[in-house]
Amino acid sequence: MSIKYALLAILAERDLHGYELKSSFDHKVGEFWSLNYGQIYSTLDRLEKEALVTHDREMQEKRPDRKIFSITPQGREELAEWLATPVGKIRALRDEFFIKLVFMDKDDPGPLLALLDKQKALYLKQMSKLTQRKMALKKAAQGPDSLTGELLMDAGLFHAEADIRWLTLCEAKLKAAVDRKKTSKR
Amino acid sequence: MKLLNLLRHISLKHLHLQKLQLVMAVSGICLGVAAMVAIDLVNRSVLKSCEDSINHATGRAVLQITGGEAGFPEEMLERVQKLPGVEYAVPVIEATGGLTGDKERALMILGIDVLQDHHIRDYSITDESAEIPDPLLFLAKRDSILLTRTLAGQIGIGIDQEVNVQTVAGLKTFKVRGLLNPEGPARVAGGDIAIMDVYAAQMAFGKVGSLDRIDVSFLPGQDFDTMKARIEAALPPGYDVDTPAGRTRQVELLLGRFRTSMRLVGCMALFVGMYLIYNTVSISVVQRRREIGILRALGGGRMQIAALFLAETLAVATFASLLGMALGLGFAQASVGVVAQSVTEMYLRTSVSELVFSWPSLLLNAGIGILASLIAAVFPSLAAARVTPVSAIRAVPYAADDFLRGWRIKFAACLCLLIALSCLVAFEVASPASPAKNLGFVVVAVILLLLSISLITPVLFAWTLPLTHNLLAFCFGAQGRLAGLNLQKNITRNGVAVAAILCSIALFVSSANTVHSMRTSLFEWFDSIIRADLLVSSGHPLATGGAPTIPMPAEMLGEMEKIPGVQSVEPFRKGRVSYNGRKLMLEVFDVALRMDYCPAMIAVGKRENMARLLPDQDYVAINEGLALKERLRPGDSLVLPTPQGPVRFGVAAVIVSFSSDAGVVWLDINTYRRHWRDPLVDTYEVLVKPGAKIKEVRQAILDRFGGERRLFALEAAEFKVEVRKILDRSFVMTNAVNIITLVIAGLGIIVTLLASVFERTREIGILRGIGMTRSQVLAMVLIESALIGAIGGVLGAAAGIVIGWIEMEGMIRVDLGASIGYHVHYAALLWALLLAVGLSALAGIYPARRAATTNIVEALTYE
Amino acid sequence: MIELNKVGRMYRQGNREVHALKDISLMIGKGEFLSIMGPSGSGKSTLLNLMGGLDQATAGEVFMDGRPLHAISDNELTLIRRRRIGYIFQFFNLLPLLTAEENVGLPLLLDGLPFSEVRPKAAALLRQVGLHDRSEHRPEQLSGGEMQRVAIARALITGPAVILADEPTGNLDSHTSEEIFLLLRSLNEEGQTIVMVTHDPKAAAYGTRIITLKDGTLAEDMVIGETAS
Repeated sequence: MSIKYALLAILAERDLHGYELKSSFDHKVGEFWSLNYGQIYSTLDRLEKEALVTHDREMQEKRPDRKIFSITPQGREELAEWLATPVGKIRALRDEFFIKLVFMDKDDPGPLLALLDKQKALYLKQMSKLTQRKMALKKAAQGPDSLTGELLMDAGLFHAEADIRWLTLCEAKLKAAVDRKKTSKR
Repeated sequence: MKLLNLLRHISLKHLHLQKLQLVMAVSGICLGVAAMVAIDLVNRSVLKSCEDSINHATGRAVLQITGGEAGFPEEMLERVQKLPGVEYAVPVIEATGGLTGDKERALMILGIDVLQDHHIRDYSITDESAEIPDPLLFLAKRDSILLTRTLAGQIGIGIDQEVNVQTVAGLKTFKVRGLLNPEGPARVAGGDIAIMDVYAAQMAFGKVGSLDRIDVSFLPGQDFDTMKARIEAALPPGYDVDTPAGRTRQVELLLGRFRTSMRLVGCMALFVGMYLIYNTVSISVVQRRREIGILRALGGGRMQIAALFLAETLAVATFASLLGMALGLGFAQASVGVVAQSVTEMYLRTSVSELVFSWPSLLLNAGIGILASLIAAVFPSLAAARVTPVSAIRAVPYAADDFLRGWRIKFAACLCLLIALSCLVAFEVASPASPAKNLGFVVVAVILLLLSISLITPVLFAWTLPLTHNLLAFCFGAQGRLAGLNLQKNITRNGVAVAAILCSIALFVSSANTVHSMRTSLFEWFDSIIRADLLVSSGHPLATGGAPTIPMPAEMLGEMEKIPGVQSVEPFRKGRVSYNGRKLMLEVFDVALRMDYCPAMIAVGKRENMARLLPDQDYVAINEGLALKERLRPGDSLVLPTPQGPVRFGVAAVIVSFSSDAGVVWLDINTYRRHWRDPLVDTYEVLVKPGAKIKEVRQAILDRFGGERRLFALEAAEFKVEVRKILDRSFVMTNAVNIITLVIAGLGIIVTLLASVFERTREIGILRGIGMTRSQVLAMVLIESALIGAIGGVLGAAAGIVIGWIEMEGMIRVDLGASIGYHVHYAALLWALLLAVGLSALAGIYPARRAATTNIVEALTYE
Repeated sequence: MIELNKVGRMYRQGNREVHALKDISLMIGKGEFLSIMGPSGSGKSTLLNLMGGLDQATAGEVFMDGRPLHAISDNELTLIRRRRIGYIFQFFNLLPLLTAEENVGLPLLLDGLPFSEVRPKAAALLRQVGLHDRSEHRPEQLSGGEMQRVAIARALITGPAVILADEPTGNLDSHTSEEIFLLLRSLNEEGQTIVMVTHDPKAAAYGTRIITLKDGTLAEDMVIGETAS
């Protein structure tokens, strides 16, 4: 859904051909979101149909012509409108972990608790990496792009933090449930 | 009811939690009230005892007639007895004897008309109150004497045994012919009294044909003033007709001065106590800020909150005041003996057998204590009422109660100062007769002055403190810097502690200075009048409680001069003479001789005039007090009554003398003998030849006369030491209350610092955390307390110097009627500063230890 | 650098014994940036306090630079705190009466150095934390982040062997917190050993090693980054 707007936004800066478009996308948001060329080209096709994007052909020696894509005024309008609209839908929880949680045995919480710990450790390591990348980014470049990257990494960190907190809560509630069971059995 | 509920549910729990603060506050009020109660009780008891002494000796007499030291002709008795309206008129010989034995013991000897006297006094030698085996023998024999059972028991003498008594005619032996129960007159002078028949007494004391006193009672229905006038008219001029109460009045006047200064001191103790209460309650308000906020948020009214704090104060103050009453009784019991001794030595022989209770006055003092506490608690209680409900939810940053530094207080301080100054001005310019010339004005001025100074102390403290910052940092490093800043933080509260120290140190310094000035002046004077090497008298000059020693005959002079080593002998006679209702002290000596070796201190007039006019002429020198009160100057004259009738004397000079506050008259011995016909001498002042040993001369004198009479030859230096001791003893009570005041101020410091340490728990935790050692924390708090003491001490010393000067100029000078130079007692000043710093540091020890042992981990989580 | 050997800390609550820490063994090497995590009441702060000599263990041994913190007098412990350890607290814990410069220099002042000597050092550190224009300000005139930076400068002034931080950003917003962590991280990259208690995974992620406490015991110990050498 938002690939469309991401491409529009990249094109709003300058005209690009397909390959450049992909590398620009990767550079900006690749951290969280990887696209293949197929997805890009199908999205561009759709955009052209909606008259938000047009293309010119660029002649090349020994190679097929390249399409240079550019945004139409209509496209700019649509982009501006999208940028100004808050996101209505909250992130869907379709994590693999949730499926595991659903099917784990609640009566023997041992393995589940172990999994929780491992999962947390994993998140922490990921956060550590993100933090290091963020710091590297901070050191390397100063500019609007690096700020965006930083903010995106922050988002990743906050999401991971939320997950860790949630995992911790799971742990506490599971333990409390086990304790309750123990005491009621006695 | 609501209030009681609040008290029960909230206050009791706090009282429990803040035990330490409670103990401090209770001790403060308790000590203040105790001081007041003790002062009151001691005053009453001593005064009562003096009154009793006089009343027992005077019995039912309505009027007493006296006339001159040497007595008056006994024909006067008959004259009085014949006057219409007179019921009884009985003769009295009043003499002081020295009971010789292991210990020198003064004895008051009353010579009375045994057959008539019971009409006046409550005893009779014939009824059961006395044990007189043979009344007829008592009357028939001249050596008969009656002793009180008390005295007889003490010296171990029974009926028919002999006692040796020192009299004017030398040593006499009397036979005890009976014992009196300690009632009525037998209670006078603590029982050290002997009774003789008047004729035997006249013989024994060289007063044949004359009397010392006539006691008169009236027939029923006689008008007092008419009778008094009638008696005065019947007698030649120069006789003194007065009520027995008139004599009490004199004692009262003397004690009055003592009482006034003690009251001032007592007031100050309470005043300092008020500071303690103010601080305790304000600290409690700060500590309970959140709780007050909650109460307010739950719908507690402002006035309810204020009432809660006042009610707490009331409860605590009532308890403490009652405790103070009990403690005051203890203090009184402990000190009454010393005060009585001091009064005995200085004014009148008295011994206090029991404390005089007066419930109203006890309760009044306790009430004053409670009221003072409530007044002190009003401001912090109102501050409590101003706490907003928000304080319950939000930690409102500590808002110092700036009331004590606000413009109202500055205004009040100025007002107090202004009133104090106008009181002083009014007192200064008022003529001696005007009602404004009342010591009360000075007392009020001093209290207001102190009030004013202490009101602006927090402001002064706020000014002074920054000046010390660099010095502290320089001397004590980080601890010093922090200590200064900590004090800065709660400047009002610490200022109050400073004010408390200031008051007590001011009191200490002012009394030290006045005492020192009096001592200095007295000794200067003493040195100027006592130039002889030996003082020869028949009794220890200081053992008889100001009563005249037994006089010696004039003939001794010639013989004494013959003793080898004696350069000169000067006779000295002391007497009393009435003048305008005053009992002036008559000091008689050989002026020509004295002017040779005594640098008498002359206030107005010329020395040559004295040397030229006084010897054997009708000229006198008078002291400043008399000159001031009677507006006399050299060249004026005054008429004094003599046994030969009134004589006009010219005033040759005004001299400095502290002998009597009623007035002192110097007279040449020849003039005196001419008019008074009194050949006796109280003291011979002997000047030893240069090169001769004083001790040898002294022994020679004792050897020469010792056989005939008991004699004391006191070295002048020794005498001065004795006088110094007596003088110092008379200030014991003042010092005791000063110390109580200092202790209360010390309690104030403990409360203030403890609160400050509690509030800073977290800060102290941080400091410990980042590497402050326990001893550094200890040092920091001790520096704070010592600094409070030092600033309070310095300001207090300065205030004390001024107040001492006012007291000196205003009270003592006018009272004593002598120029006493104001001498600052530098040693005492140093002591005061050391005491202020030392005591404060001492008070800081407990809070400092609390701070040093703070648990770091707990402190860091402390809110 | 810091070595804990079977360390326990027990409190008495009435008649009950509460074990805040049980049998903890841990080695912290030079240059590490260790985060201590765990739920509330798991003993994180207690552990930090033991390492910092604010509190003493009731069992086991704590060594700092080879000195046994569990067996020395309060005075020696205080001197170690003063000279070898830098503290950063959650509530900044600056002394409200002192200027920023004085607060920074306080450990040296307590050590008896004259202010004239301490001052340039404090100024340099304030510059390092970016507060050179705030040296005369008092804590109440500073923002939360600024206060914490002053606290960091204070912790650094003695050139401590280790910096101990207890929830250093517990009272700060995320952006300000990040600045503080970046500052700590850059100190660590220069070789400063840091031990930090935090419940914030974002904060822990700045470290090189994370240990997790549960019920007073060491539950997990993982290295997540490279230790600066």
